[in-house]
Amino acid sequence: MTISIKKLDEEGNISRYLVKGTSTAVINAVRRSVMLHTPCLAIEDVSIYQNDSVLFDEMLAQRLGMLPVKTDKTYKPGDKVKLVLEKEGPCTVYSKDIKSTDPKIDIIDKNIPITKLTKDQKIKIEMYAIMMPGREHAKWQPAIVSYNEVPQVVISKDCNGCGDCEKACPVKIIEMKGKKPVLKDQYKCTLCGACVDSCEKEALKLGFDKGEYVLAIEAVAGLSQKEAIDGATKAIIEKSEDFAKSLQKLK
Amino acid sequence: MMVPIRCFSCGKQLAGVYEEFKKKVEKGEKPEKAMTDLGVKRYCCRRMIFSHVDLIDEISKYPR
Repeated sequence: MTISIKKLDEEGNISRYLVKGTSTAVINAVRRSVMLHTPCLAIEDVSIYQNDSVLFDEMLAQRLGMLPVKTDKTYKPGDKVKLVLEKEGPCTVYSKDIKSTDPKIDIIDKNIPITKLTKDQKIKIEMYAIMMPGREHAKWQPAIVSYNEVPQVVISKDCNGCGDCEKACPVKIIEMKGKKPVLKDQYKCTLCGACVDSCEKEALKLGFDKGEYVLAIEAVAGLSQKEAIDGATKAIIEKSEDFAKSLQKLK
Repeated sequence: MMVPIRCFSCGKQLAGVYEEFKKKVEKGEKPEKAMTDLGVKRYCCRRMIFSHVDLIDEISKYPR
């Protein structure tokens, strides 16, 4: 079976794709591979020389670790970049105040508040961003990937065309067509099941198109959506090749 | 104390949106609409934003 992928929509940095001709195993392998095996940059080692702010050193280091760092293609797993943060109050310290020693590397979201300083308070911090896969910590997870099966309404002969399901749908995708409920845009369904619960005759059920999935990708760290998926598929290929090689050694 | 940088459940970065959200709500916009407009759509991320109490200004009065 060949896999076909079609882009459904794009909103901000969230894209949704329709994937046909695959199985839950494959699509979940891609999802888990993005989460666990696709490396990206995140701040890991923090040296605090001065911290007069009311946030404790540990909290400050934790906040810095969560920041999204732009990742360059030339970086390999284990590579480090030094970043420096120096600021004197009174002010709010934002992520834009962090200076990188490599011009290619930067904090993506510039408006993340890190801490607040009052008069005469100072912070002076040196930190290293390290390229690692998400298996180590969720801060290295480059994208949020989710998938769901594509639903369709299945109506038994008990349906009396009352239209309760149409009213119950929170995303308003059920339409009565000649006294029968039909899904207008089945890819927008959130699978909440309100239509099933609303049916007094218990005539409505959700069925699923086997092998059809809606895959949603949201880039949250330094990689683009495409880079995240590329890295994930590469990791899957590498792992299966390793597996095949060690199987051959058995003979 | 300060708004968490990421959502505890899904890992989306939210802190960058918080100040804008606060401004919008102070102007009188409905919080649910402001959140949707800022791209905070999942309920795990929404609870991060609206259940947050910014205490750092209070605590800053008592430096260590």
